[in-house]
Amino acid sequence: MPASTKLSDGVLSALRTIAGDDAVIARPTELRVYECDGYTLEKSAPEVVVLPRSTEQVAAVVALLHREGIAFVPRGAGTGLSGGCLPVNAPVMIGTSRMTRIVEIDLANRRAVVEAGVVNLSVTNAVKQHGLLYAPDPSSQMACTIGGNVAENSGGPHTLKYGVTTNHVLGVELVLPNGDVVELGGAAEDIPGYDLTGLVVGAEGTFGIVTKATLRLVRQPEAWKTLLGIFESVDDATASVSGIIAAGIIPAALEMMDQLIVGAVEAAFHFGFPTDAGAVLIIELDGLAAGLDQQAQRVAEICRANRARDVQVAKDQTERTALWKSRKRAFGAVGRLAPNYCTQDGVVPRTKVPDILRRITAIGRRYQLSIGNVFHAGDGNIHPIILFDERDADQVRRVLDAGREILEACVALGGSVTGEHGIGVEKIGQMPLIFTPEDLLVMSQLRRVFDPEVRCNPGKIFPTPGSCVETTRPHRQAAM
Amino acid sequence: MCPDTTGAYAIAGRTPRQVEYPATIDELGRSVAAAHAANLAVVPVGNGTQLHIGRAPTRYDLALSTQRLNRVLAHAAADMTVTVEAGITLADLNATLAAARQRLPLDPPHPERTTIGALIATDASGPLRLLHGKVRDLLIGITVVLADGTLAHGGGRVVKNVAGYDLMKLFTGSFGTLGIVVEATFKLRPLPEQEMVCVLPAETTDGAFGLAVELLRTPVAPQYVEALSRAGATCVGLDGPAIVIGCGGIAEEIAVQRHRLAESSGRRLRVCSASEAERVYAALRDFPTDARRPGTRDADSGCGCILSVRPSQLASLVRSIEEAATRRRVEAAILSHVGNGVAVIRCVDVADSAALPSFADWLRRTVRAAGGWTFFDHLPGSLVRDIDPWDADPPGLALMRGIKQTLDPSGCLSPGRFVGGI
Repeated sequence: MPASTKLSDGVLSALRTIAGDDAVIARPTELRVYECDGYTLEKSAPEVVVLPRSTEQVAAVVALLHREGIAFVPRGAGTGLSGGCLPVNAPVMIGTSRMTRIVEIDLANRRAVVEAGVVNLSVTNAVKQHGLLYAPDPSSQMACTIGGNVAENSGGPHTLKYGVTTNHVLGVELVLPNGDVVELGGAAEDIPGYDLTGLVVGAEGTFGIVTKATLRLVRQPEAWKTLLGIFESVDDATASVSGIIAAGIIPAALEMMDQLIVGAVEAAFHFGFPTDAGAVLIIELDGLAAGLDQQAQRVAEICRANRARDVQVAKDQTERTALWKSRKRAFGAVGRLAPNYCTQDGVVPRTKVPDILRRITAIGRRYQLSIGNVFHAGDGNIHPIILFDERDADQVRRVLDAGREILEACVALGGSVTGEHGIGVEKIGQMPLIFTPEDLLVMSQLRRVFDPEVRCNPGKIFPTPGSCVETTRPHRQAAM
Repeated sequence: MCPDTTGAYAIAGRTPRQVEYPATIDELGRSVAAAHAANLAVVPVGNGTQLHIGRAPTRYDLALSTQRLNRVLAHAAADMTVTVEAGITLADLNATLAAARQRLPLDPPHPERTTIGALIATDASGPLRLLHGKVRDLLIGITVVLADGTLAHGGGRVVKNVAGYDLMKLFTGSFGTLGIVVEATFKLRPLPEQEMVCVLPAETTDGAFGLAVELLRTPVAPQYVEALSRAGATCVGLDGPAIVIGCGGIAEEIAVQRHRLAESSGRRLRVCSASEAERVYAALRDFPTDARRPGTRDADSGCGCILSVRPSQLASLVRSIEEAATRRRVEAAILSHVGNGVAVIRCVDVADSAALPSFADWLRRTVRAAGGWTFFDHLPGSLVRDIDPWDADPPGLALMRGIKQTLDPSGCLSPGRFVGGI
């Protein structure tokens, strides 16, 4: 693997010929932007970043790298949270951020074909006047790209009812690691053969570079009802979550924020959250207007039965929007609490949410770390946010250890190590907790069908003994 | 000695030399390992109800049945997930789940005979796919026995999980060519508190589609909207072209939908009685693969396909299919999952079977020209050699061959059964 060899001038000039001078970034100062994504504990800048404008340019770049035997890493907006686009032995980064065309909107069939660099929210913005929306709504939806969403199989608050990215992608255009372009899936629902689209979504960019996607659009619900449940304790809030699901109610979204997060969010956005509450739940019901009142009443009863201090209803669309803005920017608000934070993405069966929250509290106490929680409670998908200061090496070590323990606790409760952020480089060490060597072998064999030389996004997902990635410890600690 | 059951598992006239019914997953794994070592060709089967689907295997030594692997392993009712062995039938599973007012909302034909393994392997679907999607939208964990007998799994038991590649997607609809599904975990949905089935008659098949498209734009949230051609309606016991709408939910939701449906369709809307609702829904779900009129020769009956296009193309396509069929003196019964762009076509009356190959060929070309795909899921013996169940060149075929070659290099699992002879 040509990891240590510098790219030749010939390769650099060939990249410029393909994509244009302004699409090739090679100055070290400019490359620093690309040294990590939202997972900042490890950093490593590529030697060069290429920002193609079309599928043809991506294919030409990849074909060149294939001929030269050079590994590369795809990147969308860099909002990922597991180091999925961190260059690991991959000198070239191919960013899709300039591929921003919405190719087709088919209102009659509720489909959209978009290029990989289109921002998630732009899809909904382009169709909302027609009463449609693109359902997956990660908190970073104002910045993250569809290409990145496809790679990570992104979720978001409203995926509880509507499903994650894979449930909304009908087809992709994929540039294979040898430069060939293939179309998988398409606008029809039942396409013969193996579900390769389903396999590519969530493959974390290891099968090639997705350059276009055919997306399913859904109708905006006729009505919403958004409730804010206020609780004295996290325990009462999580017990309400279990109660709601067990009652057979599937809200559009069911989100929890604990006191630490509510405090940060309130300081940042002044929504009017009670900062003395132990936890709040945001519960959104949607659908036909007719059924909502009764459902809302049942939800409120369940909350009160679990000792809710109060259950409020957003009085209009403005208040609803403000509530969601606060929730979706919670991660940003956390910046006020500490210089750095690191978030985990474990999943537990939904009835185990109270258990995992108690364990997280205990783990935080033991490692003397502040941990806030803001997460998709209805899915059992936790996001403990561990606060720290990266200048303190001992703290960083404790953060990593605590994060690992939290994930181990999720697995012990019957869950998984990632619900929507992906394995990336961050959780490679945890893969053996949930998969056997045979499982991992099948997966790496599948990868080689698409990428026989493992040149597309190497060093991700799979523990690879003997590679440059340290796999016996949970993380390479490039940040320290 | 067990009775010889090999005949029950014949595929397109090819009979296995042996049938095995392992009692445990380990035992099944050992059978596959032994077959692999002896280079025997294995076709996984459940109750053998879907074997008419797909190409004949190029080799067929052992039919390996999952019938005895029929346990519910864990129903975490409060988490709304269930883990089962592959040999349980969908009806048995849903009977268990109903006790907790839950269901796996997938409704392929004949759930009382269809095992979960067959459901996954054939990616079968029914009317409910409009609201609940297909297997791919509900399957969250899977255990498979690979070609050499080793066990592998993907996913888990939680409703949201992106760890590792999505093996659930790969094995769904893979027709037993990559591995044998032995265990599966699904997310579940609550049973609707109330259900309502409405019939809206139309003058013509075209008219039925027009109504359905209009209905899908009104503010209702049906579980399914099915359009029936005249012959299709006859198959489900209704008179003349019609659409059937199924709604579920709490009383208020049902009431408002009933009101809105009636408003948008005038006085023609008929709400079925409970017993009729049950009968009509079951007939839609089981839309016949073997419907035949008296006088039709058995060998020609049941030629059928499922086609998939963009939903907006369905109406004109179905109209031309009806015309083309009539020209060939074939009566085509058609049921459409309108919102999904899917139509189920059954040749229920065939005056001259010599017309069928050209009709099938015409169908495939016409659907393809509309950007869609045709899957002949039922081919009578006289046609099985002439008509490929699947289009020959789906997108990504080379990658599919690569995956097959990688996971089953000696070609022991259902060889030749699938798309492109995989």
